[in-house]
Amino acid sequence: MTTIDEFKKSLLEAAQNSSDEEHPLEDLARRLINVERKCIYGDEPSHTRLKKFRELIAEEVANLKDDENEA
Amino acid sequence: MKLKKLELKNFRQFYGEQTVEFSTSKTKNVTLIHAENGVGKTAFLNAILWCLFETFTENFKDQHKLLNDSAKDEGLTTYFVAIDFIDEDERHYYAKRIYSGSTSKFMVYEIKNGQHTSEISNPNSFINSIIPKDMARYFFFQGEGLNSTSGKQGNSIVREAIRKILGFTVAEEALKDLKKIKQEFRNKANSADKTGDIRRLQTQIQAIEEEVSSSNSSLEKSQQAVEEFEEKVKKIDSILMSSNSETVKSLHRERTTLENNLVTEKQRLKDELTDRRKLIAKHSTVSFSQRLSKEALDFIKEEEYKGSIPAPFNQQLVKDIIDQAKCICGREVHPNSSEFNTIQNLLKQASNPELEQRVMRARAQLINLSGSVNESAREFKLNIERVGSSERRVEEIKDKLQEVSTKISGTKDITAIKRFEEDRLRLKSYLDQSHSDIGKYKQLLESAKKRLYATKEELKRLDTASGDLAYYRKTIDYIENIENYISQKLYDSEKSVEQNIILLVNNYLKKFVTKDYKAKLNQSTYDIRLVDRVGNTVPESDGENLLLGLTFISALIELSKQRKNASGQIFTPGAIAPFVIDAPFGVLDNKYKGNISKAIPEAVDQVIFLLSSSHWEGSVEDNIRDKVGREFNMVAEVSSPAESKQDIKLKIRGEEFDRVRYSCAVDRTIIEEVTVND
Repeated sequence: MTTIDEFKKSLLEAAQNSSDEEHPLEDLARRLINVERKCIYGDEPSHTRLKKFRELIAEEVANLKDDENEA
Repeated sequence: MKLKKLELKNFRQFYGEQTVEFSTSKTKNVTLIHAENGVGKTAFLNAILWCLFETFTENFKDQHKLLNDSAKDEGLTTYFVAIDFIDEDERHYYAKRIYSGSTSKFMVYEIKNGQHTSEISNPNSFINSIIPKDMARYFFFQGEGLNSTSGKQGNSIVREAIRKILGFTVAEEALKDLKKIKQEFRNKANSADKTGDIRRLQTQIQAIEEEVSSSNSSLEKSQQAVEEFEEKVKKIDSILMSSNSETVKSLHRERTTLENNLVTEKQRLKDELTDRRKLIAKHSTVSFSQRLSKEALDFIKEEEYKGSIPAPFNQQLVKDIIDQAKCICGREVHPNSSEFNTIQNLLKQASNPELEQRVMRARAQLINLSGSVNESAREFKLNIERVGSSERRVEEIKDKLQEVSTKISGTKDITAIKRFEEDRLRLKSYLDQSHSDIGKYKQLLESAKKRLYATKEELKRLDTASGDLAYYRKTIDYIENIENYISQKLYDSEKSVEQNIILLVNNYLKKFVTKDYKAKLNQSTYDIRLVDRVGNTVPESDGENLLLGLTFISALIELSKQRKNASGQIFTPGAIAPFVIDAPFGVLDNKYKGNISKAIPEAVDQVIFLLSSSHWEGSVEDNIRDKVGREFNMVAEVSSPAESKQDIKLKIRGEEFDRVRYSCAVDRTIIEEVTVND
């Protein structure tokens, strides 16, 4: 196996591992980064960025509260 | 993504409307565009960047003056660039950026059956989903822009490129935003804090966080300094080893041995000092209790001698006499009689089994401690001897090294050697200082991290009866978790790629050069160097640097291609894009030009080379001809007459083509397709 094949294999394995076991914060991290991406490179106005960040975080913290109450 | 067609109107040198259709063939995947310097190669590359990303290469001057001068003189205000392209699923799109009057508009349409469909909403986001803007500069590439992948300038280029290809920009901006929001919640928590305790702790936390960040940054700088100094020392060593003087060579060999010995001896000394710390932990009780244990044992022995320890009579025996009211000699002992009371008083001094056991244990422990004193003294003595011996040996080697250095400096008739030796000594001193700084910053960092943890824990323990306060603190904790998660992901990705990028670079290097060169990445400085078969750094030259630069860019493009479909990414995914390269082979030797021009089209799906005659002439044509699908010539049309100016021609397979045309209606560049008969 050539080095390039080994590299491809390790990349695919790493990607597979990371998708198999999703960290509880991964989804929020992805969503926050997407908000940022849309503002930096996309057509989203930048003044809404922090507002969306606050909303996403508030939503997750509220979910934490609900989980604690259920527990 | 493959480019199909580019339309330009009144953009820089390109007056009027002009069109270039690129080769999209799989086998003949190269489009060649010939142009002399100043005619429009860089403007052409920047037309693509401006259209898709509204950005430019660093060497593109007067970026705000995009309207063609002749068009401007005629009172025209509109210019545009439009690009036809297909994505990986063969869907066809048309992107156009137009500037008219004082407004700019960017639009993208999908083309179906040759017709524009409705305009795609969010065109910038759409283009960025195909090629992220951060990666664009590596696909639409200015060859003269990358002079080095090494040294002070180079290391930042390599690191920045890796981070851009991984999409770090967006994640780092997200981290900055999270920090802002965290500060908002800290301010809210401070306002809701009645006692002022939270404010006090928050202030402390912020100060320690700044300390951590500052120590991290200083540590990183010192580590980079060590790498840089070591690299420079290696270079001097290489010069000394290749000296014409046998004396210098011999002395340098002696020094190499001594330096290796010094490293070994220093490690031995370090191990002995570690052992000493362990001995202190192991024997400290013995050492500090030596006098006390001796006195206690003497006391027990004396009391044993006197017969008071253990007591000469047993508690149970006395109790039995009292209970039975009869002595062991048979005499009656009546309660409340003087004999009875005397016997009863004996109970206060009588020994019991528990007390006896305690005395026995104490005696055993004290005997054990006395025995250990001798053992610990012996171990300490040995350790002190070994440390002393190791310290003396380190000093001896240092003295010998100093002697060797003096001899090298004093080598007769070789003044250059003296200078190198002085430089080496100075660098070694910087190295020692940097190593010492690293130790200091590591300690500072460790201490700050401990204090940060302790202060955060203290904050958590504070009473948070107020509902608002509890909510603010919970949110701050949550934001910190997210920050840590993203930072860790960034760190992991970078580490993973930095380990693998060098494999890719070496893979391309094999294709590009016939010599047995390898690329080596310094993971601390992000410095990429060429090394020869035996591991010696190849001396830097413009040609070698450009070779390494092109190899690195090819590896980045490959990396980006591999990341295109990698799932589980939270950062910007990779991209498959054409490789448009302006002035790729500037200072390369002919042998490299040929190899690289042949290898790049084999590695990338579509290549557009913008070449001047200095790039084209030589070995490029022979190696690339079979891959060329379309070929263009940029002709400079000028309004002035030829007069005595030399008529320069482009020569392709024996046929000549105009480079310049004089006495034309306007000054402009026109792009003409070149067709050469086989």
